[in-house]
Amino acid sequence: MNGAALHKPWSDPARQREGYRFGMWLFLTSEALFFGALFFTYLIFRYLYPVEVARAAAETNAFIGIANTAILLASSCAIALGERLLEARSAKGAAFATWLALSLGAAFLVLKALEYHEDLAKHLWPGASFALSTSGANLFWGFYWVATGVHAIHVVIGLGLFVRLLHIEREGFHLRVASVRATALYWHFVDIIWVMLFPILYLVGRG
Amino acid sequence: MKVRAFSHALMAPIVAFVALLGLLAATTLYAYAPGMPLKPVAALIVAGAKISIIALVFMRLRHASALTRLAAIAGLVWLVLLFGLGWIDYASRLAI
Repeated sequence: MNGAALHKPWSDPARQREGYRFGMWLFLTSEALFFGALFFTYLIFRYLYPVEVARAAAETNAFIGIANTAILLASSCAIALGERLLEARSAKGAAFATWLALSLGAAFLVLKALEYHEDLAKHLWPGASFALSTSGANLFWGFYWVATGVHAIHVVIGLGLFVRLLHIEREGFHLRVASVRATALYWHFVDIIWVMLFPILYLVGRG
Repeated sequence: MKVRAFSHALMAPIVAFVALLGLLAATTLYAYAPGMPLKPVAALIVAGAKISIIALVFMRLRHASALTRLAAIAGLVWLVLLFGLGWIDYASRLAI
């Protein structure tokens, strides 16, 4: 986009754009490997304890899981629209889309907190008072808390990045297209991780 | 940006979002339908389709440069190595 601010060490806007995008993709690749290791542990204990894992997974709140998936997809769509609105020089439209993405992300966290509260009330935290006694259930619910907890931390970081974008918007959104693009890429990646978590946490052991 | 190109750029994420919601509904209904075969496999295939839509449309891999595509493909290759070599280890262990 013309008019974007040029930062050091870039000599021209095209190289700067490409550098930002490539750097963000490299970061997301490292993040994919981090989550990949988590998903691999799931694959192994699902293979070792198929029946126990299916019974344990049936205890998750599928309604909240489905609602949160739709909310996160909508949030991803909002920031994708925001990015395109900014390229069309509609700073107000982009700011509104960023607000929308931020609000939907916050709604995701509120629902997740409600779900955690319900899980704890049902004694689904592996430990002395754990409601389910099998090895497979222990592994599943251990994975559930770690995976959704790490994902929630990524959501909080994403919301922080949206707040930063809205702060930039007051100074001149159109000059910081690269920041908007990088934030959008990060947010879509957070969405992708949830899309993978949803079927293995909420759809196993149903029907 | 011309009006037609602009509206086309905005339409792509909206169409992708509708498709993603459709896939979410389909995978949920299939998981809850009693007696359906290969539910975990079907759920993972649909998750793969959703991820492809997000990567191609929302993350713009469809129109990305060769360098960006290379970074994305490299990530995929490393994931395949992680799962492949890890799985070979488990599959080749002998019972004690």
